This record gives sequence, structure tokens and C-alpha cells, in this order.
Amino acid sequence: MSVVEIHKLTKRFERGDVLALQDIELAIEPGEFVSLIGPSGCGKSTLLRIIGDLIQPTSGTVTVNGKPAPRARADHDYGMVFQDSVLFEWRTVAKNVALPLEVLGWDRSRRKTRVDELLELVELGGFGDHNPWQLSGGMQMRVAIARALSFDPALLLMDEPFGALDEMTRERLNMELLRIWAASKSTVVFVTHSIAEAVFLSTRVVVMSARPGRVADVVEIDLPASRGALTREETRYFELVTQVREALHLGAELDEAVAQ
Amino acid sequence: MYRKRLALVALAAAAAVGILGTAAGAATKAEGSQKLTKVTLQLKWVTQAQFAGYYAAKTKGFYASQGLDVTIKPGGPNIVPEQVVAGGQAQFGIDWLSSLMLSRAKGIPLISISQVFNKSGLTLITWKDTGINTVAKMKGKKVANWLFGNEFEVFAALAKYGMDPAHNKGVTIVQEPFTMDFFLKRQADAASAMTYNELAQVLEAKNPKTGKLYTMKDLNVIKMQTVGTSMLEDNIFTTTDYLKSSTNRDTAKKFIAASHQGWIYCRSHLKECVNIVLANGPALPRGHQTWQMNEINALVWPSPSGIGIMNPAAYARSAKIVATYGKLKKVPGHEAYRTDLAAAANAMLKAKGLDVTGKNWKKAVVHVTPGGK
Amino acid sequence: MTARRQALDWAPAAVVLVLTLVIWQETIAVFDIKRFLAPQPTAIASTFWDHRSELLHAGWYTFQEALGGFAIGCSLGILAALVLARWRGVGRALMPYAIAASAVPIIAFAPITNAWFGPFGKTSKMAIAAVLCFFPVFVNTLRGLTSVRPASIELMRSYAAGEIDIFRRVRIPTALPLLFTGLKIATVLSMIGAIVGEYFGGSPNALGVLINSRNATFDFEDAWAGIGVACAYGIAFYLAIAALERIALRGPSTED
Repeated sequence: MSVVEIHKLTKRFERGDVLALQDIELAIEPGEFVSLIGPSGCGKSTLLRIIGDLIQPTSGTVTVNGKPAPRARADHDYGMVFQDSVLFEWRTVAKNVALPLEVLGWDRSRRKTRVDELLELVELGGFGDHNPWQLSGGMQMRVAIARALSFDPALLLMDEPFGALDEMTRERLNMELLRIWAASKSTVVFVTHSIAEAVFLSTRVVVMSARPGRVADVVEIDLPASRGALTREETRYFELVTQVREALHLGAELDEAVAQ
Repeated sequence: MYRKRLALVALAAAAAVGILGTAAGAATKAEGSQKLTKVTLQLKWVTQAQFAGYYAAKTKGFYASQGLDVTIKPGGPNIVPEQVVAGGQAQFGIDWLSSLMLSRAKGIPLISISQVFNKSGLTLITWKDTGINTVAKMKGKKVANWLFGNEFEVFAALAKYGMDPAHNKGVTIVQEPFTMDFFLKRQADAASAMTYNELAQVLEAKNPKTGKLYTMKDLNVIKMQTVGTSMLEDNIFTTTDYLKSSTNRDTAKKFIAASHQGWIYCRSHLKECVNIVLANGPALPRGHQTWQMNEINALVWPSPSGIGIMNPAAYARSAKIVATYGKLKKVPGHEAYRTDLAAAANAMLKAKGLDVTGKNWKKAVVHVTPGGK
Repeated sequence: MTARRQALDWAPAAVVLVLTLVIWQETIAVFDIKRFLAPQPTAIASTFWDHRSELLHAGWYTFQEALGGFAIGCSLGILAALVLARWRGVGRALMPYAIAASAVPIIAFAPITNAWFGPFGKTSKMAIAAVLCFFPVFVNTLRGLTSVRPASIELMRSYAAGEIDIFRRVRIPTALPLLFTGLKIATVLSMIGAIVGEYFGGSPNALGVLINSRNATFDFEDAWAGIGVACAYGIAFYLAIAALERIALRGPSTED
């Protein structure tokens, strides 16, 4: 059974009468890392939010683990990470990570064990008592990821999580994310506008075109599962980057043709 | 700080207006056939029959015939006439003698030049059904007074019966508001009431049980005069500096003469004086002012030694009470007043054939009206 | 911060204070300003010392009224903000009136609250202080409750958190800094409300009555010392709430 199944999904925003998404068809299998890439305004973030049941589609269906999206959200199937780490400054790092567990009603000792485990996972052991503003942007994002993973969601939804970070930090966090993904065995849907990042991280890249947002192409990333710094220097990596870029440009031309 | 600055600005503005006003006044004066001396009188309280004599003197032209152009400034809750006169914004003021004594003790050089009221109008009132018909029975009760230096007669009365009102021992003192609602609602056991004002306000109110006005039968009225702790109240005062010049002394004498003439006029023209007061826009209506005029006449008349002439015994009693409850270091002496100006003024009036003692005056019968209307 | 640094930080303010007092003192002496306009600071200080027990007791009495009004007004302000943040429709319907009401010079109600609650007790003064405290606390709290970042709400919704959870864990903590801003304004207003209320009648051992009465009996130094006591209570109240704020709020200080 697919983790996510999207069928004939259309989203029209009433305000301004914008057709954000049109006839999206997409299935994501367990353990996959799927990136959504496209020009701004292609509806990739909207699609992510519809999967996460934060926005309702105009028509079509979204099924997560065989359940409708609202049901999946109620069952705590989602872990979400946004571009902004959204850490609460009135909570310590550990308490930020524990936030979803509090909502889920975990008891204190169980929370503590889990938070320690997660901080180790994101290599922030010993930072639990720090305040969020004492951490760098990259560290804050790792806290946000730990928080999203805290209750072991089936699906990790990430909306341009590294978009605001510098290139160096971003590449380092890409590696971290791959390691965490492998360790947590979760399924990831990842929104980005960086081709390099999409190719490096994903098992599949969904290329979208804008106005209306549609799936322009799906590129299978057949790089080996264990990736490292050297992956970015492999010929296959460059070929795939080129392939995604061309798909994006094709999508853009398609946009213009539609516009005319 | 802001308030202080505001006060300074206000002072500056007042000064500017004063200069302009004087200039404008001078211009009109020059045009007139007779040159009038401009003086200002600061009243203790808002326009009402309590000050009818001064309004009558102005309206009937007594001031003008003495060569005076008098501006009468009404008072109010935050106006202290002694401060206004000492600050030079008025030449003459009307206030209780106790306030004058206090201000002198605090180094403000003022002097009483006519003790217009020779009796106290202050009473303590209670509801008859409370059974509190003497000051002694006020022990442990809640007694209201306006304070602000108006409390001495009442404090002396309570102290006479073993209470310590200054320290809220044996009796609870509360600050009386400017209307009598609190008394009608029985929020205090006893209230201070002037015969000419607050007492009438109570009598002008309807008893919700009967739907009729309250009457004297519903009340115990304990006069400070009877308790023996009465003090002298309304007097005309000015600064000692002002009287240093002989021109000003002459002006003061004329001012007193015209004012006394106003009071003599109101003694025999109750209704007309009420009309004069009403024309000057009092807060309370005709019925109330008529009652008040009659009661005020009773505080001025009869005046055996002549209106405005200080009674040394009454002065001494007042001084002793003020010294005790105003926490003065020494009892005010006779330097706080002078009678020569009032005597000279009365001589002028007698020469005109006016009766300055009112020995034949009889109090009129005035009925209260609902709401004082 | 070291004690030395702290001392240095306060030095300019202390210099201004001392200079102001010296200029005040000397101006009065040099220009022979009348005592009832402004007594000399030294005279006020010595009067304060002589009558400290009476003045501080009066201050305490008035402070109790202020505190009561503060508690009532702030509680109602917070409660109203919670209701309006939860049911926005109600808020949209009521907000224009709340703003209009806050423009009414509340102090003008002092004689009316005296009529409602009796002029002699503490209740009427508490009522004025409460009304004065209500608006800044209400407006600030509501602003805090509704100024939550949308991402924070999305995050909570992704956990399927209910409205109550969102209120407890996001809206209220977000609103706290603004709530404290409102509370700090309210400390000062509550003292003003209590004192002004006393100007319209009250217990003789209340500060407002004392200031007003001493002015009328020419004890100007007492009146000024009373004003000083009112300031001191107001500042102490403000600092107490500020200290509470420092304890309650984690996060980078916005003042430094």
C-alpha cells in the first residue's frame, strides 16, 4: 500500500480565483524520499499542505496510509518541518522537542527518554537546556527535525527546511537528513527550489510547472542509497541534475505556451 | 513633573490674560466719566445665596457708588481662596476664619478685615430613627465631614465627648462628598450639614417610603452653636501687604462698606436677593436659594456690635479649636484681624441712615421645595 | 553584569535627579517663590521624615485600593481578551465599542462610582482603578493572543492539537510579553485611579484625601510629600510587576 496516494487533485483559491493545482496524480511508497521542485507559484507548498491536511483540496482525493488526510492527521501520521524552524522561545530546546509529545499526552519520564534519544540523533545532545535563540540557524533546524520525528510519524513533510540557510550549512544538513532518514525509516516529502538538494536527497524528484501547478515530470534518482560528499562529484549525479533542470525548463516553456 | 509644567503654563496663561484684561479694563475706564478701581473677590464656594450680599452690592451698584469695579470669582472644590489672594489673583477673599488662621500659621500673611457671619451654620445631622441624638452617641459611628480645614468644629465636638477623631479613634471619620446622596442612602451615621445648604438638600429629597419630602421630624439636627464648639465662618480677608498702602486701605474700607450694604439690603429684600443670585447662575435652583438666603441672614443678623465687627470671645474660641485640630504651635492671636476698617465702613453706612446691627430682624418662614426647585 | 557596570548605567539618571533637585531648591530660594507654588525639596524631605508613618500608612491604604482595582481590572481585561480571541466574530462586533469606551475619560466617572459603591469605602476607588486598568490589559492581551505566527498554528494543527492546546501552549505564551506590557501600564494607572477617586471623597487616611486636604490647609510640604509617596508606591508596584515579568518570561530581552 502506498503511503500517499493523490488522485485528480485540484486546488482553486477563492481569493483572486487562482488555480493553484490541477489534476495532480502522485503515489509515494513507504521509505521513499520524494522532492517536490518547481518555480515559485507552482503550488508545491500548497500540495504539501494539502497532503498534511492543513489546506483542503477543491476536488480530488488524498489518501495517507489508506486513510483520508484528516483522519491521518488525527492519527498523528504527520511530522512537519517548515522553512522557519518555528521554535517557541519560551521553551528550552528539550521542551521544544517534547512539544508534540505533550500534545499527545506522553508522561514526563517517557518524554524525557525520547527527547534525549532524539537530541542524540540530531547531534544536539547536551543542548537540551539551551534556549532556542542561543543556537545557530542550522542547529535550530535540527531541533525542528527532531521535534517532527519525536512521535515517529509515518510521513515527514518538509517545506523548504534549509531554504534560509547558507550553502555550507545546507550541504551539511543534507547529509544529516539522509542519515536521520535512514535511521528513522520514515517516508519523506520534501519541498525545495534547489535542484542540487533535490537530486542529492531524493529517491524521486517530482518536477512541477506553474500556473496552474501541475506535475511536469517525475525523475527517478538512481544514485546509490548510501550517499556522501563524493556523491556530488559523480557523473551520474550531474546527469540527474541536468535532467531535472531540463524538466524544469520544459515545464517553464510549457507555462509560456499555455500563457500565449 | 508634567502637572507642574502644566501648572506653570496655566500660570503664565493666567498672567497673560490678566495683563490683557487689565489693559482692556483700563481702556473702558478711561472712556467712562468716573474712574473705578478694579478689585477681585474670590468666594469660598460656588455661586449661591451664601454670597448674596456681594452679588447684591454689585448688582445694586453699591460697589460702583464707592468707586469700585468688583469682579466676583466663584470658588469650587479645588479652589483655596487664601491661595488665590496670596498669589495676587484677587485682592479680597471669603473663607472661614479657621482657614485664615491656618494659612497665617503657615506663613501666608493674610488678615481678616470683616467677620461677616457672627454665628456658625454648621450642624451634625442624623436620622431620628437611629437614636443618635447627641454627639456623645456618635461614639463608634461613622461621621462625615468635608475635611480640607472644615472639620475643626466637628472634631472639637466629638473630642468634647471623649473621641479622638484626628486619629480615627472612638469614631470613624469619612470624607463627605459634595452631595447628600450618601446620607440619604445611610452610608454614614452622621453628616456635617450647613443649615443653609446640606440640611436643605436633605429636606428637599423625597422619602421613598412615603413618597413625600423628608421633614425636620425625620432628623436630629445638632448645632455646633449648641454643642459649644462653634467657630466663626465667612469673613472677608486680604493680605497684610495690600493694606500697607493708604490708598488700598481706603479701597478696602469702601469694599467693606459696599459689601455690608449688600448684606443690609438682603436682610430686607430676601426675594430680590435670591433673584440676583439666580441671575449669576448658581448650581441649585430657586427654592434652595430662598431657603439658603433666609438661613444666611440668620448667621449675619442680628449683629449687635455692627456687621463685620469681630467678637473677641468668639474669635478666641475659634483660635483655640484651630490650634488644637490644625496642629498649630501656638494659638492665633488678635493680630489675625483688624476691626478699624469695618468700623469705619459701618460709620459711613450709619451716616447714610442704614442700620448696621439689624436688631429688629426676624427670620422669615421658608418652606423647602422638592429638589429645591 | 557587574555591579560596576550597573552603577555606571544608572549614573546619568542619578546625575539628572540630583541636578533637578538642586536647581529646584535654588530656584525657589533665589526667586523667593511662594511656598504653595512649590516648596523646597529639603523642606518636603524633612516633612516626609517627620510624618513618615502617617504618609506611608495613607500610601498603603491607597495602594490597597489600587491593588484591588488592578486585580479586578486586569483579570477582566485578560478574560475579555481570551473570549474575544477565541470567538473572533464577537471581537469584531465589540472592538469598535471597546476602542470608543477606552477614549472616555474614565476619571470623569469617579463621582458616579462614588454614588454606586458609596464614597467612603475602598470599592468605589477600586472600581475606577479597575476600569482604568482594563483597557490597556485587554487591548495588549488581545493583540498578543491574535499576533501568533501562522506557522506556529500550522505546527500545532499538524499534531492534531485542539483549540485548548493551541491556546495553552501557543497563544498564551505568545501573548505574555504583551500582557506584561499592559500590566505594567496598569500598575501606574491603578494608583492614578485610586488617588483621583479619593479626590471625590474617601477615608481621611487615604493618600488622595490627604494630599488634597493638606493642600487646602496650607500644609504644602505634606501635600508634596504625599505626591512623593504616591510616586514611590507607583514605581514600586511597576518594578514588582517588571520583576515578575523577568521571572515569567524566558527569551531574549527586548530592552537590552
